[in-house]
Amino acid sequence: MICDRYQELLSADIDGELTDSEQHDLQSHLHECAACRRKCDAMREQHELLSSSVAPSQPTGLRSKIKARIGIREHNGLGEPCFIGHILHRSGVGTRIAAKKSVAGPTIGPWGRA
Amino acid sequence: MQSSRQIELGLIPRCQRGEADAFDDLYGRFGDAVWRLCYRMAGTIADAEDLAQDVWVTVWEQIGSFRCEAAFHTWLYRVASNVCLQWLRKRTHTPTCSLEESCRASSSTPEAEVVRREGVKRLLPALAALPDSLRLPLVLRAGEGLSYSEIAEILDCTTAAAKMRISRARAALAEAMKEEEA
Repeated sequence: MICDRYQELLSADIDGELTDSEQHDLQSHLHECAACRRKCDAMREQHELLSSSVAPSQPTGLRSKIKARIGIREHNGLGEPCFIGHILHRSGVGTRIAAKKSVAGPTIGPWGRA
Repeated sequence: MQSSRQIELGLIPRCQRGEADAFDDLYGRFGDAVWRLCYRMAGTIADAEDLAQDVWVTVWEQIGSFRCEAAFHTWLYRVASNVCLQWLRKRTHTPTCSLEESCRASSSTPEAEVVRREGVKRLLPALAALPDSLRLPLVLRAGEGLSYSEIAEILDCTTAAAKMRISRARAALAEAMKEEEA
C-alpha cells in the first residue's frame, strides 16, 4: 500500500528528523491523503502523552539499597566513613546483620582493590 | 563554570578508582534518568526498583571499561538498556503497568487533565504489551528525548534501524490503542 512508505516519515517528522526533501514529500502526500493525516494526528497525540507523562519518583531508600549491594561505605553522621554494619550496630537495629557485615572486611572497589 | 562534560570527566575516573563520594555524585546526576527508563521498561515500581538496582550494580562493575572519549550518558543508557532487556527476558510474569503511578502529567486545565489521564490509561497498557525490542527505542526517544543517532549508539545498530524500530513501535502502539478504544 502506497501509504505504508509514509509511516516511517510520519514517525521521523514527529521527532524532527526529516531532511528537507523528505519533509516536502511527506507534506505533499498529507495534502492528498486523509487517512495519513488521521494517522499523523494519532501519532502526535500518542507522542505527546508519552513524552509528557511523568514517571513516579524513585522509591525512598533506593539509593541506599544500591550502595549496600555495591558495598559502598556509608557515613556515620560525623562525616567519617564507616561500614554499614557499624551504623546498624549503633542504632541497635539488626545486631546479627551488623555482626555479619562488620566482619566483611574493607570495601572492595570495582577492580578488587580496597 | 564547569560544563557537564568537564564535571563528568572529573567524576568518572574517581568512580573508576572506587570512590564512594564520586558514586554519590554520579547517582545524583543520572539516578532519575536510569529510574525512568527502568520504570517504563518494567511497568511497576516494585519491578523497576529491582531492575534499577541491577543496572547500578552493573554500572559500578563495568565503569572501568568506559573510555572518556564518548559521552558518558550514552554509555550509561547502553548499560541500562542491556540490563533491562536481559532482565525482561528472564521475567516469568506477564508485563503489567501501574496506571495510578503514571497518571501525574500536568495539564493546563482540569478538563484537559481528565482527557490526558484517559489517554494515558489507554497508552500505558499498550506500551507495556509492545515487544521489548520496540518498546525500548520508543522509550529512549519519547521518554528520554534522545536523538536517533544516540539511540543507534545505545542499541548498537544503524540510525536507519533505530528510526525503523521507533516507527514500528508507534504503529503498533496506535493499533493497540485503537483496539482499546473499540
